[in-house]
Amino acid sequence: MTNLDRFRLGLVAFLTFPFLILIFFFRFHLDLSGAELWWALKNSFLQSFLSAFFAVLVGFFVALGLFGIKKKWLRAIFELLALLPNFLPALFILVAIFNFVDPFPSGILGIVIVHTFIYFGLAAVLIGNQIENRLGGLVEQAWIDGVSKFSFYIHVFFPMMKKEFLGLFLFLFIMCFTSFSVPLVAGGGRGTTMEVLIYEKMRLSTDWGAAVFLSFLQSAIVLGISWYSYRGQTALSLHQVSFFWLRSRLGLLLFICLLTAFCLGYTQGLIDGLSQMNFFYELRFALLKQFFGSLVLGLLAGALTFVLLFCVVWARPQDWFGKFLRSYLAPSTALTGFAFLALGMNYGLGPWIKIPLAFVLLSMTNLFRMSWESSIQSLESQRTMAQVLGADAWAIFRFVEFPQLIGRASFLSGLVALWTVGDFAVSRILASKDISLAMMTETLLSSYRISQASVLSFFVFLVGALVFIFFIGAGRVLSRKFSL
Amino acid sequence: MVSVRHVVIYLLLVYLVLFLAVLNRQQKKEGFDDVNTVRIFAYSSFTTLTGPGPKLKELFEKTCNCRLEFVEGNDAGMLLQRLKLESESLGADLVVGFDQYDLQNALTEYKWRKLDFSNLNLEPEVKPALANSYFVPYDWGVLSFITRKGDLKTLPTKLDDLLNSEYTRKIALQDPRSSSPGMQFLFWVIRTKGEEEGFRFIQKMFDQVHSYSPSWSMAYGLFQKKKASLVYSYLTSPLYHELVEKETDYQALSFMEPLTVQYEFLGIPDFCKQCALAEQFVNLMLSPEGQKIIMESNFMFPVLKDVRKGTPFQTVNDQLIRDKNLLPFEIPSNTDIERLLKRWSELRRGEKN
Repeated sequence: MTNLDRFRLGLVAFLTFPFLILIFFFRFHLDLSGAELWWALKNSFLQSFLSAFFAVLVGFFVALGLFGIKKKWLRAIFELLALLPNFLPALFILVAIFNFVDPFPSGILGIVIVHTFIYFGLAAVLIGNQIENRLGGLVEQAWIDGVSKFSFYIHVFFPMMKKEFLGLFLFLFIMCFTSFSVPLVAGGGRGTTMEVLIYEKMRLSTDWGAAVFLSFLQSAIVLGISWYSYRGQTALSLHQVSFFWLRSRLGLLLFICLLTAFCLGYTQGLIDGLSQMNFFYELRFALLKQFFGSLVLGLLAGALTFVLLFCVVWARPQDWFGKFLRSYLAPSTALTGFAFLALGMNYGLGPWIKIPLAFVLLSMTNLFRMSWESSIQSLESQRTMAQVLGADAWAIFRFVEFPQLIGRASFLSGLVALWTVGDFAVSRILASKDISLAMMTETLLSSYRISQASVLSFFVFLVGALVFIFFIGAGRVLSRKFSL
Repeated sequence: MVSVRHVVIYLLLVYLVLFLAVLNRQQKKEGFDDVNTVRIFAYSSFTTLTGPGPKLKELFEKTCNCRLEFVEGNDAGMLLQRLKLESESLGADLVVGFDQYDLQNALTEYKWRKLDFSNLNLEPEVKPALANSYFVPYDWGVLSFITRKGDLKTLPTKLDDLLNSEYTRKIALQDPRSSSPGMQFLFWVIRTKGEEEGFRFIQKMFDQVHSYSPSWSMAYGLFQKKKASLVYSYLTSPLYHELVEKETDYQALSFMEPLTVQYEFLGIPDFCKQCALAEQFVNLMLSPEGQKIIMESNFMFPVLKDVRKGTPFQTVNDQLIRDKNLLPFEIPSNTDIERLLKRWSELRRGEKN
């Protein structure tokens, strides 16, 4: 066994350790009727497929709409706003949707509407980012050559982007497949999914063995779906290119409509909450502490993601290792949280390290599927050339891969940081008290204080935006420094 | 040459390290001296700054010559697992927050110390909940439907009224698989109408329901945001709006059928390390002072008699419960719960029952 294999196995062990711990604690078994399992599977599959499809579709148009914004800072703000539904408590999203979809169609259609609304912004940001990386100067070239837009889309855009779209579809499919709250509320009671069954086993029957088995089954299904998926071949663009030509006014209008619909409901709650400033004054010290708590959790999660992404680069994600990364799905949030809990060190600094680690573990293979693999693949020819010229592994990593991948790694790290800032589910399991603004928001929601929770969720957004911008900025600085 | 950027990064790093160091020190101070530290496992709305936990802690620490540490769990299932993991290493002295649907699981999984509080002057509604020897209720709430004044032309007065067309898609309920009030509603219907008739009623209710939320907070949030006109919640819910928000628009509804009661229990695990102190804390929770704190922070009824006398909580009781029967207390078996949930799920799938 080579050192590289050992390193790869180490990474696999890290990513799969929740399952190992859960198997150690609970014996696999399943006490569930076939009909119930089939129902949950069918629902999970159908709602995820449709949700991912529509999120990518709407996200595509919105991405083109965002290209129409010339000012970079304005576009950055719009992109951040597009990510907002991703990390706010589900209640705020649902209220916004119920505001303009009335009567709301419960069932699969309802679930698809809510998921599409939650993920279209993320899809738009990722598609925009991938178009910039993949198409590079081709857009400018087509524009200069006077190629019609229709022809460009048919002969260049879709053929070149199909693998990226498929990767993004798969990523969103998995996000929706493991969704919990939305299928319950928007499904009108018919929304049983695998994740709901897992929860039911843990909460009601305290049958954790069955919950672990279901989670394992869920991972196996995702593995089956992802195993033969395409590998993208993004060509990283090294120079700034204008994509203004691709802009879509309709896309921008669509985005503004969706954003307005969301903001109308959300800002009303904000205004109500702000009228109760006394409440926040009384809690000012706790809030300040939790503000820094959120910041630290986000920064640590982003930093750890950054390191692990480059560990994956160093380990060469090819052969069995590449397939593993493309196909593996971590256990459900609650089970991953429990696995970390079982490690001990649950007080003092423990939760501060474990929460970011849990997030890295939960999102790593998703990031890989989403775009990290295609970014690595795009450097294959340069790596081969460097090898032919006699460069060793370290030199290739230091002078070829690292400088070119910093930007993308920072973006992905920023996303994980953003999710971590907005999380309360994992944190609630691993921390013994409220340590972040998101946790406090959730606590307020469970004690009638919905207006105050709205205000706090806005601060969650601000912290999220801050860490996201920090990683993007840090990426740019590092990229300039290391490309010299 | 040192640039501004370097200075900012350096300062950020220093602040980060300092923050973590202070935090670690504080945590050590709170929980790791092992000198008379009482560890209480509880749910988050009990331990949060707006909940009763911090006020009770402050009161307790004044006299106990000890430190009190809360360990939060997001639900009873996770609390039980956490107990299993940490009971041997760090110990757990008291668990707060089970309801009657969790008791069977808690009894199956662990040994608990016997508690005798039969000498307490309890509300008559609470006395039956003392039948078990291991868990003591510390508050209770009666569940019914809450509405906004003026939202509905006619108010439902019995369960069957909920099927009226006026309420179609206006009722916010909780999913019984993930929420305790959701389970309470299921039991209310089944115990009132009998199992067969009850499920027929539930099937008809599916068209009336706006949404089945995974938690009470989400269902209540949708109601607060005017997405539903009726929500299944506590009779005392309007009191929160009245006392805290000075809002008198909310109204709890009285029904002809006996209403369900949710009891919240505490218990001392057999493996407790600071058992005597834990018992002292239980005594505080069940004292008139402790009960008042719990009542005013949790917006639930106190278990001790006379604590709510002269408060708005007494008015709620007088107007909506006093002359009515409540459903008798029971600790349903796991088999019963699973069977009912299975039938509920089958109904949702459209399978015949």
